[in-house]
Amino acid sequence: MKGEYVLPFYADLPGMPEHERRAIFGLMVGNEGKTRLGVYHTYTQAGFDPDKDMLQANVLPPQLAGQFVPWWDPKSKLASAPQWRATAFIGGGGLVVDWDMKTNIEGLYAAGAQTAGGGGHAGAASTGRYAGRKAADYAKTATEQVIDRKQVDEEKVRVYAPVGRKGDIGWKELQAGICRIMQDYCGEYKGEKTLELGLWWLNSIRESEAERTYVRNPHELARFLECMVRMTVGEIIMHASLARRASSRFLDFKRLDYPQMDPPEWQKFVTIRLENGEVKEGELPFEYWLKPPYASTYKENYDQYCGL
Amino acid sequence: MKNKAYLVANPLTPCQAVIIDPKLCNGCNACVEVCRTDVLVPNPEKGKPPIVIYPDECWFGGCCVESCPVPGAIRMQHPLNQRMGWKRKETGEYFRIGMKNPPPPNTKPPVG
Repeated sequence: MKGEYVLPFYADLPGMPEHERRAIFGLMVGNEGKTRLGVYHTYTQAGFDPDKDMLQANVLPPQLAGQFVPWWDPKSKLASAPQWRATAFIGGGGLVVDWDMKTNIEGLYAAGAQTAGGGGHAGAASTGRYAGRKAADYAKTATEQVIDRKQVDEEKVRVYAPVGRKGDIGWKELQAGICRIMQDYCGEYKGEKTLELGLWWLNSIRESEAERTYVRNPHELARFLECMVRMTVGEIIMHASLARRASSRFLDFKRLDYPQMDPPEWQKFVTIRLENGEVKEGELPFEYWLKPPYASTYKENYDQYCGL
Repeated sequence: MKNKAYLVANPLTPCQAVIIDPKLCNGCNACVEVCRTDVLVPNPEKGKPPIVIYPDECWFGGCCVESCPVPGAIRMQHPLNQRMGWKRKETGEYFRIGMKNPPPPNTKPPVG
């Protein structure tokens, strides 16, 4: 936890003397009952070469590392890690909105836990009514958009892509896979290397397993589409975690490569946005809604913007 | 609506575990005999591929694949949440089980 090592760990098979490598991978893994097919055959068929390649160990909390337990199985008692990100998730991130509760996209409003730093029943009720009213005002004045046939057609292709597909993966397997990537690479122990690898994995799943997921009815199609959205949300969280190059106690956010807790220069929101396919980092002060160009009190801003 | 929708229970986790190619399988049931956890059952129709009925109990030991007399007729597939990656030491390239465009297989047999 003090930055003495960089995760993830790799088994440096190429770095061993040849006779040791042959004993470990060629003899033990290659001949032991449960690993001959499951590891030796599967991994060498997929191109793994111990003369050249270092096999990755998954990123685990230290209390589980080295334990002979099914680390992937949420039902297993030992492996059942708490949801590490829960606290940061509720108060930590969300969409940036202005005093109209409008996002940077024209016509898109946000409320409650969807907004940065938002959460709780009181916040949900008040911002919900407010954002709803603002969105209605906008809708009254907005010009009617012509339906973009091309966009609709593209969206239909995206949504119905897995229908009738002969895939070898169900939505639940896809979901469990995404969960593990988030837990391994964006969990309690994370740094630039694990986060970048996590993004690589999500992208790799998107172009491989997600293209081979089958759905048999509208129920499974809906679950599949949720998985696709979760991958996007996962990418947003990983990019935001990369952008915050500091640990924070109150955000329950720990970076192995930046172990110092709450350095003063990081007492701020970090923002990310997609611009022409590229992720752009930015920042906003805490309580930016009470700083210029806005007034310094809730009352003044409310009186000015509420529209009542 | 030209696509049929089927009323089915949710797919089992973690995955399908073993996948049989019905074009290659001769229905000999060697995999059914050898499976330690009875994941597979014989097809009620003689000569047809066995049915993978309890994939959630698979131990991924692979004895079904090893006992199969027809290469490629049955294969074992790790679930997505148990697939690992590796890094090529010299180039820094990263690969994983199940990736699109994988590197060519390493054909070196086990020792002994």
